[in-house]
Amino acid sequence: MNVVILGAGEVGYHIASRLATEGNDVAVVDQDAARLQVIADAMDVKTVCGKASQPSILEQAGAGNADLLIAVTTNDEINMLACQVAHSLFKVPTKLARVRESDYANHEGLFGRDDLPIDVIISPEGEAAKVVMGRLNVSSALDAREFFDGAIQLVEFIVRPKSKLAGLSLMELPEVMGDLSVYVVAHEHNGRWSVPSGDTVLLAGDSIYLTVSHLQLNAVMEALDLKCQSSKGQNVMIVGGGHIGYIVACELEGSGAHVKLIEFNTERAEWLSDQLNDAVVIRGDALDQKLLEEENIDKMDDFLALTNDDETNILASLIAKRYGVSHVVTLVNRSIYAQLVRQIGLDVTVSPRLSTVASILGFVRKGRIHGMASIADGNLEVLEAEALETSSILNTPLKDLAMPDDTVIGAILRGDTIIVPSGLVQVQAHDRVLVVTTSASVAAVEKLFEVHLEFF
Amino acid sequence: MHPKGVIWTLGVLVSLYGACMLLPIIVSFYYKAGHEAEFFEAGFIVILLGVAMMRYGGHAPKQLSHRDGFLIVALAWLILSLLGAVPFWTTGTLPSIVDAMFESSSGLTTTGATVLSGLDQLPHSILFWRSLQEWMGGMGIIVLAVAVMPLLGVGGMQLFKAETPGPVKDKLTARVTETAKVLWYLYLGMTMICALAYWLGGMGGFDAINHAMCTVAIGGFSTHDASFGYFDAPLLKLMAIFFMILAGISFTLHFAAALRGFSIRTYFRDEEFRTYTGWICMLVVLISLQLDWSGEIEAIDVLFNVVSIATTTGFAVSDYSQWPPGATMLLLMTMFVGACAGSTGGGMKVVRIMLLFRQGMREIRRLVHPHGVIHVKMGQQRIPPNITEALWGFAVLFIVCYIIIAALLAFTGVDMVTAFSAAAACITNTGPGFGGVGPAGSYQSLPEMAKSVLIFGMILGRLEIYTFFVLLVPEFWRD
Repeated sequence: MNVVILGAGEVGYHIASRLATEGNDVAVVDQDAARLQVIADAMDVKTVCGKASQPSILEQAGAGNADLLIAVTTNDEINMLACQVAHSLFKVPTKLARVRESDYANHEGLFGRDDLPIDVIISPEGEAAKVVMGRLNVSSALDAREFFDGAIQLVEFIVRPKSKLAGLSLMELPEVMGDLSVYVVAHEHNGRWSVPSGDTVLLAGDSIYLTVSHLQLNAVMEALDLKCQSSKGQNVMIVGGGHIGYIVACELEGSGAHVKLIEFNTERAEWLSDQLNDAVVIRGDALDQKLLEEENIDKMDDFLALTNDDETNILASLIAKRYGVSHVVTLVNRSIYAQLVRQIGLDVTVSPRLSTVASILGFVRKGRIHGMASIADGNLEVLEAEALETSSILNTPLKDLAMPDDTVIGAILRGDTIIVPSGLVQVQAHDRVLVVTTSASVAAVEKLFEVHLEFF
Repeated sequence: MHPKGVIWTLGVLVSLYGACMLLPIIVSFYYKAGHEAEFFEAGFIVILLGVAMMRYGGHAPKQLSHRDGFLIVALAWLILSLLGAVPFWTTGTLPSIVDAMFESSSGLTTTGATVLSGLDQLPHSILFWRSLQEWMGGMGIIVLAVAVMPLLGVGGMQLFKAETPGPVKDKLTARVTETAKVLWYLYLGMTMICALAYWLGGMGGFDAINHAMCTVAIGGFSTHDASFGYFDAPLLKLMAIFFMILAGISFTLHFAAALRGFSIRTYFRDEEFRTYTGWICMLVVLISLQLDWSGEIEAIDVLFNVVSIATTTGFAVSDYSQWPPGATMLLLMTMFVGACAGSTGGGMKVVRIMLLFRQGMREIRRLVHPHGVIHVKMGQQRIPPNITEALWGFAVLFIVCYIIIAALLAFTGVDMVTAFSAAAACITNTGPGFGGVGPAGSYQSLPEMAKSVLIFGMILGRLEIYTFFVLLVPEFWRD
């Protein structure tokens, strides 16, 4: 498949890297020659230096026979215009664009074959805000993701010494949980992530990922002595009133939380104050200790560091931790930081760029894989796949299934019912299956579901 | 400034007003009430004056500056209030010039304070002239002039801005003459429906028309000494309550609702409307709690009186000045709150009180969050600081004027309750006060000096202070 990627930022880089390793012909367009050199050195792709919306540049990049155009430059208007050019001049069949400004995305009539020909609009801030809200709802979890349109939650937490899970092997888990069905899909011990088997023993200090039906989420969290409260009445402090901060503040306001939003830029703070109703907008520096004390940082239930600057976010989160805020969410864009922050005591991070990459790749893999996400610091992959009539996994009890190494089926959605798998369950045609596997085995899992990279 | 243009425009307004004085002649012929000649005489004098002013001014001004707008509006209210006295004087109803002027300005400013007694015996033409004055003053005779005369279209916005009450000026349509027309159509329509309702409810034709004009104008003149209490039917009282509340709502809001087929939701989405209705409800409850219900007080009368004072109408069905002090104090306070901005009512206007309150809350919140960015908002809209500053200025001037007027009244020998309540009733354009000027009494007994001060107070209140005071600043007159 021929793919043209416009914009060689963090998102463009990761998508190019993934698509290139999967054997596609990728061309990357950017105005920054140095940035392109980094990409050219790192992977086997073609690079074109120039303005992404110009026809001649697109032609150079091979838009003429491209199957897919991904416009992820920093500029909304250039992304949209490039899609229009690719449509009118080069007849590129499928076009994805990143559009940050929600005002564009909210007007659906704007996009379509005869209007702005963009097939999929990706809003990184919207995605990131969704992830942040997900974390808030399960505030005691380290990580929380939604799959099957929210029907299944994948929740990460640490096994505490006094927890009833400590010292338990996974085979004994169903007895402890009673009629609540959970399934452990990932296990960390001493910094090493693995896909657990029946005789894995959970020790205090280990981290685990559980799949839980959203209906049972509250009950499960309660059974495990973990807090799971709605944000109603919570005190939440948000640092950074950019797109993400604003969206999160709006949603929190709607759910009845007491929100304090700190923004450095005076004009932006004025604008935020106009838009928000009950949230208190504070103009100031997030690292100003006096300001934070003035606003009672120590009384906050949640602290969300959502500025554009990774370092500010990390430092502000550390300060919040020091003041004893129990739940801190840190926005980290650079992947190197994302791995570092756990070691310095911050446990919940959100990476908007990586969530954008994940959702773009999810679309690219359109075939039978509906969604894909990296969990466990990027050590494991979660795939949301649909079983076809021809799939080799049908009608065999799971325990007899020849699965690739380190792979486990975490949940099955059949119609509207959620099945938490046991060894005897069989996958039927049209079931949607949540598979957790290692990066190395992704290709094998895709084979299992008979996914050919035939696109459109 | 364009002095000739100002005089020409004033001449137009004066002539228009003089023409209105001829209307009672028709009533006079119909009811054989007499005074045709006197009204003709009055109208003739006023029209003559207006034409003379127009001739002196030469031709219609091509352009009016905003200063001209202020000057025209302030002078128009003064001159028209005084000229309205001519019929009272020519007919000999009120031989004293001060009394005639008081009655006239009380009418035009929709105050409804009267020096007349024995209303039931007065000829229909005089009664009609009083009501007509209130009705013209309600929506504003200048808005009427802008509506009917395209000539004024150019500078119309200046006049409009200077006249219509309220801190926020809305243009309903693209052209100001259209806006003025829309407002008058709504006003006229509401008056006709109100008159029809009264007539169907059992009032005589003449009473129905007069009371409808005074209800919708939030005026409060009646054709009977007993005011609205003359009519005993609860249905009529309920209708009057409904129409007083309706006329106390911003006409801009009526217009917006009319565009959506008078949907109730449009009204309830408006914050000022919610506060206005909520305030009246709260007032009714608070006052009811203090009343001694064992007497012969009727619930509908209490409701009527509260709504009448809260909308600054000034009709009365019973003597509320006999109520316990707590209740009368609340009535005095609600005069200051008044009706909605952009309505025909008086007072400081609900929206101003709301914004002042929010501005106060904002200062308190700023003490809690010293670095907070906190705005005063109305709905989703930020109210810019210049408007809130103007509001504080307005509030201070309003209160200071009130106190000065009350003090001046006391200097003329009026007792304290009467002085304070008469000053409040006039500056808020309500009408009846407490003490000597309560619903049972009249302003007749006040000294002439006191009446002159109150004439000034009524016009000051109707022009919402600024339009008048701006003329007193030396900068206004410098080029």
